[in-house]
Amino acid sequence: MSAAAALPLAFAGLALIGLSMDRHARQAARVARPARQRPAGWLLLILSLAASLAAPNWRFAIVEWIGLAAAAAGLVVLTLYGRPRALAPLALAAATLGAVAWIAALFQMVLATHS
Amino acid sequence: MKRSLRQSMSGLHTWSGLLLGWLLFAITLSGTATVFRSEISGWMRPEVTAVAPPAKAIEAAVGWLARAHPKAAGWYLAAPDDRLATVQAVFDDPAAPAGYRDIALDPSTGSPDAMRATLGGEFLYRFHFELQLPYPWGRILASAAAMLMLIALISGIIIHARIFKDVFTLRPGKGKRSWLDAHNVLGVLALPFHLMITATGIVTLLTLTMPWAAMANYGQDLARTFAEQSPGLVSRPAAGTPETLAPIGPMLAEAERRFAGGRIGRVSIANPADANSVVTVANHDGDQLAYRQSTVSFDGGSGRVMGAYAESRPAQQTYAALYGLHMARFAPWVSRWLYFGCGLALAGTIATGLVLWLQARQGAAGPGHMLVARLNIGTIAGLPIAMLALLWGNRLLPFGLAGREGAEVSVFFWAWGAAILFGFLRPVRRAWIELFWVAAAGAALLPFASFALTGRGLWVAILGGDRLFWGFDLMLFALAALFAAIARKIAAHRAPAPRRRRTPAPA
Repeated sequence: MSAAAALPLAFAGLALIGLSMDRHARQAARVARPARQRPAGWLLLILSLAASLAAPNWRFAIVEWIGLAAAAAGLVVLTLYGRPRALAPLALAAATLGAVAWIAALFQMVLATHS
Repeated sequence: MKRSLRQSMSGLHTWSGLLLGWLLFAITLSGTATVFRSEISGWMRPEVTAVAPPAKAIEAAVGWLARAHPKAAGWYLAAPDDRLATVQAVFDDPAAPAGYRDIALDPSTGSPDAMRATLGGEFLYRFHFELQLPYPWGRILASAAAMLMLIALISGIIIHARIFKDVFTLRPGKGKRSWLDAHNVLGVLALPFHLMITATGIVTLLTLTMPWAAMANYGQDLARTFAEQSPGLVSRPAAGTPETLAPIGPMLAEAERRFAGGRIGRVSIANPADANSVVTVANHDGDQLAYRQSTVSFDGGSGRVMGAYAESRPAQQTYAALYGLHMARFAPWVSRWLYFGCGLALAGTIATGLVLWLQARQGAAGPGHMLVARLNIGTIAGLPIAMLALLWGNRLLPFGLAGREGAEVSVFFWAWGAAILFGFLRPVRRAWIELFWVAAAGAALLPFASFALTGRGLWVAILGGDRLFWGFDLMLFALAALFAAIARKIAAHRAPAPRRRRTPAPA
């Protein structure tokens, strides 16, 4: 169930990277702050990949993550297309959701190794 | 310098895309459907409701083959799994038109007699890389198309370099700009997938298209090439003295024990009725990313182990991994749907690219433009109709019809031909709209027709936990909604107003 953490994290990461671009920042009615948003976006993407890789078979996990990242990017496009102003709040919500799922998965793994 | 590179790449992208664009669309769409090959096979054989463990199903299949086709030189079986209930069997049969038969066997009886004759998902799988052309031309053409696709992808990245700047841009209602946005978004967002699936697609046919490395080392000695490629393969000539096969159950159990947690995948039985019969069991293709890894061979008469082999050579492993990445037999459900979605995105990239070629040449009305416009309709709207027609044919053709599986394929091609013809006869815009409505109706009505003819309808399936059938019906409704949305979108699109001349953007 690593997808439950990887998908929202990838969405949040890609949304932040998007918000760091001038056109998308204007669409989302944001004052662009590229200096902080872009690295944060990449960090979230890396966290998303890490969440995917915490699966029993890392080979399957990489393939799945590439697809998940594409799906997340598609969701960012659709959000900017339909509800551009919702992108920033949605990114925040997704990051929170992803972090919770990530920690839950980590917890589960620790429990599994100790029992 | 940079400008000239961009320009030459632009030409390359345009023409490599257009030349085999329709073929690429057909290959991509049939390949995308093939992601659910097992499910399509299951849906197309609604009579099969029995489920049996793989070993039991193989036993039943071998029992039926020993009675019905004992003289075959070999039986090649694929065991059922959690996605497909039937055993798939390939064997030589002089009575069959092609010289061999490729059929499904019931997992409990081992016989094909109680189910309708159909190729199931195998047709779209074969069409994906053989294009219904004689060997090896279909494969060579498919391979050439894949190579052009790779060229189009790479030149596309170069000419659309700006796509990475405002990568999430989709501007509606702006004519050519909107098409270009859609083309870029669909192409870029799943770009790693597009590159992977195209490159690995070329790899699957590499031994056919680039045989020189093997030829330089082995010359014409095919037997030795093959033997060294798969050193685990035990083969021996028929002895000429008849002997019955030992029970296959214990051999399967022994193989499964050696796979250490892996499932039984393929079972091949060479010279089944001969004293020198060999039973080879391979583990399931989907147990690992790499395609086919371990085999155990048995002496068919005694059931004694003759040899076991697990592939560990790096070059072979790499090849098997690339092959497996393309086939996606390993893919768990999330990955499988992502393969499907990315495949649709690739089909969409090609389709929007074909439309863009015309958009960039609006106003020009030569016979070439007419041809492209009409063929776009017949391919992009026609192929989904043909695929739906295949499913309709599966439900409507009479059960006992002679050559029934071939007739289903004919329905596919007649429907496609009719759609192409329709595209040539009607005004362009009307043809697009009408054909997408036909596709929408075909998809939306099929679950009802299927329910009337088989009794396995949506409610029955949901209540009975019949995942295959409710999943298929919901998928058809989703496709109907998609086709209807496209038809409405085209209908809502105003005919292009006289264009304001601007500097032509690269297409």
